[in-house]
Amino acid sequence: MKKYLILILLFLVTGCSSYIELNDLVIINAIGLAKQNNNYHLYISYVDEINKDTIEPTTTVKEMEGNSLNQIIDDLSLILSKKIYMSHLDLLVINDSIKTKELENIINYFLNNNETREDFLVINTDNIKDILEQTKFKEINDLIENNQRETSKTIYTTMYDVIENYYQKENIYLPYLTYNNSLTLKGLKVFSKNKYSLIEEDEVIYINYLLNKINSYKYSYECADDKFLYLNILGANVNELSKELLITNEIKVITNDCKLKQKEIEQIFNKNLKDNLEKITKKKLTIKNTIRGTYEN
Amino acid sequence: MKIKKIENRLSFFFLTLAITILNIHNLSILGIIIGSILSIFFIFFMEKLNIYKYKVIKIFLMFLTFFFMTIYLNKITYFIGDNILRNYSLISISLTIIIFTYYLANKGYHTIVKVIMLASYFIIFIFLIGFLFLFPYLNLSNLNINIFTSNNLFKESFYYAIFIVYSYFLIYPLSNTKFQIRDLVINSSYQILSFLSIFSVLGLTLESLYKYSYIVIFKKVSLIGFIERIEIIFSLNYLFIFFFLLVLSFYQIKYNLQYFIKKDKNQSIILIIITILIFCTNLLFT
Repeated sequence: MKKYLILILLFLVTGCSSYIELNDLVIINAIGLAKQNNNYHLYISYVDEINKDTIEPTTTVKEMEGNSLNQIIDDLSLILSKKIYMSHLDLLVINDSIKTKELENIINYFLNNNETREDFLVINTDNIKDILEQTKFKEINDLIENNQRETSKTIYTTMYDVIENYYQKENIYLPYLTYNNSLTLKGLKVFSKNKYSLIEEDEVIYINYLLNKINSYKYSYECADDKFLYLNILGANVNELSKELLITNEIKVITNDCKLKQKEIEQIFNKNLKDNLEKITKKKLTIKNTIRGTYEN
Repeated sequence: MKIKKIENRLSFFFLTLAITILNIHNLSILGIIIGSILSIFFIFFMEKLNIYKYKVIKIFLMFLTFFFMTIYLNKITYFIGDNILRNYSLISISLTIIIFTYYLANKGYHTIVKVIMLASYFIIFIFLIGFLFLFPYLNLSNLNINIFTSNNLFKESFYYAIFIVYSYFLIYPLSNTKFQIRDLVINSSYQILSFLSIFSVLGLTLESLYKYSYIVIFKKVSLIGFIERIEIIFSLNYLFIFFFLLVLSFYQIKYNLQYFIKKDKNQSIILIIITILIFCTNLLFT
């Protein structure tokens, strides 16, 4: 009896039946999505072959059109005669034509697809094709990652964030990039109430305050003619209470040409922060700072 | 050879963990705490009355185990099909599991707990590593009051207590050992800890959206851009635990059946039950 059982198990646990050759996979690394005339326009960037000179994989961008995401991806599989493999998806590029209904379809597609991972970057642009064809994912990723870390002028948004904000009916913030011979970060696109609006780079800092995502940024103030106060905000912590925002900044004074006192520096910085934050929140603001560096006592 | 206390404790630990993980969407932290307290009362009440000696209880337990096995076999089959063997047919997966289950359960309780003991080194090591990897992704602001309690607290607590009592019946009466409260305290504490880590990494919204939130959290792990895509290892870890749940459930049926059918014909009857199980799960639920 045991012998038969072992024999059956041997056949069952070989794993050969689900084996797929690497060459039979279409490894998708980026997707661009737009909607035109009630049809999805999908730009799929997939790993094609290894460049013999640079020993780096080259990518090919294919343009497809269809009624639904599932249908387009099935069509792609038929055209290329290969199995679609999305586990290495790094980037999703969308434009302003992607609204609530389309977002819901995208989210459903990724939630129902166990192969994909939702930690990929999501960006907004008007030049989907150019960005996918002319740039590399690393370039885009570094641009957004470094900007968030050093300037707090953008937000690194992953699919997890999009899904979470969509279901919580909160604003969805997407980094807005343009491509005109070179890649440029132009601020944030906010998706709210079924429409997109643009937030300029400098204003993104204050959005980051509200989201408690401030890493570091620089602040400059012209205190007299050709004399400046430069501050490096090393970090900020925001505690959100029911009717109040408690903000604690860690500030380093870099240049203090006007020889301002600590209290004056704080007043200037706090006033600017309050003025800008009051435009986007109705909550009472309490700002505390820890200042170090060169200032006059 | 005598069965060590630690072997029983580990088996009980993995059983309760498997059942909690398989029912994660129906539980909350307060539900686990109240359910644990309820289950202590139930277990002590049952031990006092020594209800396991009654044949009616044995028959009831056999049917309950059969019912749970059909549900869990289906859930485990889907778990493997969705996370580990994505291109493999579900019927082959459930057939493989059930044959392995039958094989190990027939070896007897002693062998089962020894296998669990051996596997526990791997499982516990992976869990510890998992917590370590997840540490940078823990976001305490994701923990809000909704994860601690729910609208159906009584129902949840009652379900959890049933799961614990069920796990108790799969271990303690079969090994003739006495239940200790600290076993349950350790289990419940670990489960609360894993609940907190899942919710603090994903948040309540994402957790409720994902079918396998306990695997999805590991998809986020990326250390220095080198250690990533480790969720498959954790899937294997859970696979072991789920497998032990099936084996011990099956052994419970086999053990109780011996009281009613003395001859070796038991073997064939058990085989029929397995066949029914496979067909039930695959034809009714798939």
